Amino acid sequence: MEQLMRGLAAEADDEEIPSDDEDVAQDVEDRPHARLLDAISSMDGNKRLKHTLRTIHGQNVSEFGFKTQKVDAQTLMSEMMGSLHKSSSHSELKKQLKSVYTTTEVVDTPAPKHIKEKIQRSVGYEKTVKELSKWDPVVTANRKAEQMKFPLEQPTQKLINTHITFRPITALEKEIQAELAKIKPENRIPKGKLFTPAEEEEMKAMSLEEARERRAELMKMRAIMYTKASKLRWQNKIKSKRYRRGKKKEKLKQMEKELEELAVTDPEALMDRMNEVERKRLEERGRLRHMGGGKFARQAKVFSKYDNEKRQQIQDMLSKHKELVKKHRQLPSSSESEDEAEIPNVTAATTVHSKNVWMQPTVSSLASLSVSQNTSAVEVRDDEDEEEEDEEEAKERKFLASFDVDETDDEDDDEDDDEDDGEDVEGDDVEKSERSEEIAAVSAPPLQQVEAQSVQEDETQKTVEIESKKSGKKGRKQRGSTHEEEKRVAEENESKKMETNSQKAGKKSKKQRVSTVVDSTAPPEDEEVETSQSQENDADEFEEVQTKKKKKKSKKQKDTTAQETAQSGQEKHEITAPVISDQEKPELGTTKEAAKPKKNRKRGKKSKNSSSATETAISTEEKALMAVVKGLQTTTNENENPNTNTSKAKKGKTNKKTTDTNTKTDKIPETPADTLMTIAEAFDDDDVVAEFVEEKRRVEEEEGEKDKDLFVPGWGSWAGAGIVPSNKLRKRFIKKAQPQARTDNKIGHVIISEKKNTAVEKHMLDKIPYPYKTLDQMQTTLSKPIGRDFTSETQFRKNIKPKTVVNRIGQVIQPIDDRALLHGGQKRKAVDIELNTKKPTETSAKRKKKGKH
Amino acid sequence: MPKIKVLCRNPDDYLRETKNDIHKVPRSSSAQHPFKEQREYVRTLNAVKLERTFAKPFLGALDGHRDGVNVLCKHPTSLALLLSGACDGEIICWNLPRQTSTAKVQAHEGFVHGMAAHKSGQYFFSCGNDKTIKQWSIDAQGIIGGEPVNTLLGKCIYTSLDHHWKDDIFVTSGSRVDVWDERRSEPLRSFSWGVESVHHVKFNPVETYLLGAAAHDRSILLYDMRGSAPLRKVILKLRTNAISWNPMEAFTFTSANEDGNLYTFDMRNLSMPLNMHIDHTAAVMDVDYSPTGREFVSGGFDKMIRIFPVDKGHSREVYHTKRMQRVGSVRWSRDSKYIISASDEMNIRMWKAVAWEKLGKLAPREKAAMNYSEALKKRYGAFPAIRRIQRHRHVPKHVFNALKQQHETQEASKRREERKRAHSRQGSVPYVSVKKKQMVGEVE
Repeated sequence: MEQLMRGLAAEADDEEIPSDDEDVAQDVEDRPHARLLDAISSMDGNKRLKHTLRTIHGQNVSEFGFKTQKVDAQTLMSEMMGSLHKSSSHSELKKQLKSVYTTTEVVDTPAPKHIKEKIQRSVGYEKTVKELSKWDPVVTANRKAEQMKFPLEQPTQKLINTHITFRPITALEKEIQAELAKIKPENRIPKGKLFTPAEEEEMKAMSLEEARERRAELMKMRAIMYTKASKLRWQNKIKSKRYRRGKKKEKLKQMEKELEELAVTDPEALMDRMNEVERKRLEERGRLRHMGGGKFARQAKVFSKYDNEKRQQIQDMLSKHKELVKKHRQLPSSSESEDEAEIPNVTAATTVHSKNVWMQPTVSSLASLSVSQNTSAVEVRDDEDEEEEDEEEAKERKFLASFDVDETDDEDDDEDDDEDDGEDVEGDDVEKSERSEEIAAVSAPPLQQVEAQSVQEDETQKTVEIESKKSGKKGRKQRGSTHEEEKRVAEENESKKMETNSQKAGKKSKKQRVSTVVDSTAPPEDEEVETSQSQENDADEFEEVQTKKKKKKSKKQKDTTAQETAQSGQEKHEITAPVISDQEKPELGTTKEAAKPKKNRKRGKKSKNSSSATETAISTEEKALMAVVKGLQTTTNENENPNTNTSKAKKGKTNKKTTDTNTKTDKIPETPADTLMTIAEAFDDDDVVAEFVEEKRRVEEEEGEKDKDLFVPGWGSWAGAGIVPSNKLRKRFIKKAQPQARTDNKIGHVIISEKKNTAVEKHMLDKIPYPYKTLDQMQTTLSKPIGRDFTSETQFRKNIKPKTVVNRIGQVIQPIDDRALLHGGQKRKAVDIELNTKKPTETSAKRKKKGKH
Repeated sequence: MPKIKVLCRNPDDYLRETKNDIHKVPRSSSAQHPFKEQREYVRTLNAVKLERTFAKPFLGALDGHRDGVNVLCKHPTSLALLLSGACDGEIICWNLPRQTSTAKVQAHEGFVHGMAAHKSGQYFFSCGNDKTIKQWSIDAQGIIGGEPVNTLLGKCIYTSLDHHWKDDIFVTSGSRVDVWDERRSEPLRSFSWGVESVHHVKFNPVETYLLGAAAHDRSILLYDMRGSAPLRKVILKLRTNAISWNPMEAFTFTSANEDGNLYTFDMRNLSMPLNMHIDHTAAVMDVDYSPTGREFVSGGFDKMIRIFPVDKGHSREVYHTKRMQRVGSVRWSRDSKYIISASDEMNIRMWKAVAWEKLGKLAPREKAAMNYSEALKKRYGAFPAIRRIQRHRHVPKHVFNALKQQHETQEASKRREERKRAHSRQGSVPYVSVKKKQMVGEVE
């Protein structure tokens, strides 16, 4: 403002420009003069400020039309107006000046046109953008929508009353119409309405909200009822003793209270109760429940206050109970009674499973049983051979151990046998018998032989089932006579051994075994011996047959091999039952033979081979034998625990024996290192490296390019019948395979396959496709199939929902409308209005409050 | 042998059943359905092969024009009718199902540049090289009245014309953009911004007061019909030939550019296009949205018609015939099922929007089968064997070569830039989006 004022002052100072109050006419006259002056001044070359002159003729001259000239000295407004302050007049002017001083704002110069337009545009644009942003939610929702149906405005489907235009024509229709006419008017839907009057009445009676509340309440009640009921049911099922005890105590206390009350108030009722209790007592006695803690006893205790008799009764009962219990506890476990108890058990077991082939007791089990029974008396018996005392003890221990298991596992044995994956029933049975033979051969050879013989005899005539049963029975019967038999057998064995000219050591060992067996067999009770006299004879006969066979065997072996090998072989045969059975095969010629497992046959063969081998081979044979024993052990381990025990004992024995024989024949004892050596020697001939090279060459050949024979008859020569193309020509057409660049070419000891299945490659993704981020995601999605065949129909329909649906063919789809912005809220509101015509009443509000409490 | 009682507890005996014991039985266990994925994969493969087998998009050609067809105009009420204007000034109304012309009018001297119908379908406007805007009456059968109902003489050549979606207002472009009331002989409002000449103008179908225009100065202009000033201008590197608004999104439009690309913009953010649709090998002359707003069709000087999904950078479909020349105008029918193209060699062609789609009514089972195969294609579409079949299209040699060249060029420029970046100071060669590169700028 100050500037402006200064400018004005300057203008006012300027002499050449006339002020407003000067005459305009003079101004007009001055113009040519001014021009002249200008022209003159411009001649001298000095730049001079041009005089701007107004060109418009008019009364009112704008003050803005003037321009400032060069101002030499600035005049301040204060200088001009200084005198104004001194004067007392011009109050109006003073006021104006004052306002001028106070307002310091300067009005901006108006913006140029292009800027103005720009501002207009940007304002307009921003406004439009703001307006358009209202579409954002709709657009994003539509973009994300799983499905969009076009056109967006779907036609509304309203319920239309069809009966309005319907006219019955046919007889049936008329009949139906007549029936419909009978319907009460309140149940008919009137024209233009959706519900019958009755329905509307119902709807009026209860608003939706009220109905919901009511339903919720009912549901709550039902839930409470259910929980209560389930709790009670649950409590009834509690099995905790403590809980029950507590409950009973409570009940008793209750009863006591009642009785006390009754004693005072109603003695008759008390008597009734007493009678009732008496009845209960009688029942209790009838049931012979003499425990003090019975229901009766506890009740009687309560009544004993009032009845001395009752007390006595209880006392009696308790004493009786004690007596009974005492008797039970006095039952001692003597060896006799045990023996007595055991036998019926076994028989029971056999009788129970007599029909089931699998459940029949095996000969082995019976044999082991007999052995175990006998062992109980071992301790009592004195040893005959002082040298082998230690050995005996060890054996005893083992047998005892086996005995322990024997009794308990008798049943289990049978069951285990069941589990064996035998080829057929017969074969399995045979195996069992063989196993039993084998064990018997070790523990009690004579007995076993007898048994085996009996079995063999039966085999020819009877089925496996019966025969096994029989053998079992026989075994049992013969148990009594074992002692004498065995003695005889031992003698016979000795004689036999003498005949075979076996070495002393061998004989000794044999003796040992026999003696041990004799030792192990308990002295039978006199009565038993007497009763089984008749069977003894039969057994004797069997024995004889058996010994004869043995002789034959030994003779055979003698013929084929040296004495030592024969000895060892014999031992082995005795140890391994299968071998024996195999050798007996030709003699027996029974149906069982065919069913024998191959394993055993092999073993038999092996033994045969071994018998014909050299001395070095003997050791290996023994190894094999050991292996066989081991194998058996493992198999028996799987099947029968007692058997394993015996076999273990056996094993120890055999080991000892073999070492014995070895020492006698000056053989080097075997060590694991030796076996390793033999393995290395065994593979000495194979050149592994050469084999590998060969294999690699084969692979290369297989995977590599092959020579191509491109020869076609007639090419490069005359063709025709009878012309034989030369080999030279043929060769020319063979395209040689190029040497491959294999990755394993430079690595000698590796084969890297060049085979690569390219067929699958074209179906494989090289990266995880877009919507998925991890392989897992993709796999889970793909594992949920879309098709009807793999999912339910509803899921299938959901799966195949297309993203864009055009509902009807040939329908114009209009662009989205403002109505889309309003959708959602409005529709829901309409429904609410329709259904909630009645507002929630006070009663419902009250109910709400109650529900809360 | 005494019977031994063993402690043996089965939890089922002493545990009560709870609600947790009710198991969900999975229906699609792999035990029940071995190879389910594999089976579906094979089904997809078959579906894709069938898709290709049934892909016969060409429905027919309408011939009758004696010069290249320049303009197409959809009839607002009838799906069967179509208006076309040729370079010799003739306007023909077509009956599409019959493939016949219902009426022919010599409307202008020289080109017919623009045509637009009133929403009632009772009359339409046309403008041409003779600086006139003519109003023609048309009946439901597509018979055009012999003489124009109204003729407006203008001062310049009107290059394009569009009608308001709701009101009786239309807009023309020329040396400026004029908004006309149907009943007046002078424009209601004229927009000009600098000394450009606008060659294309379009009304927004959703927010109907908005206008989009393309000008010769390589710019796309936006107007608010209600205001006196334009809103904004976007300048691209090359000229925009046509624009089309998305009928389902008020603020989205796509422009067909001279550089062979299409650019989809959000008009609220014009600094960069939302998407760049690449596949044409020459200038794109026209673009039109499907009424569903999910796809748009474009045609151009490379004699191809391409269909793009809005959110994809490349076309899903390409249509061409041996005889079809440069495509001047394309339209997507209002039921979203057909595409109509007009080209230089005087023919108008009808295509199916989905090449393999069966036309006519589908039985429910048929529909379900189609939907199933579509779902399968969506799921397994990324697998190379399927993708290869699905993506395979035969294109003419010139397009094939051009595409190859385009690809090479792109690769080369990318490589060059990478090298430049590798050999200059870090950050001095910034990564710039391809979309951004096509922009010259936004003018307020």
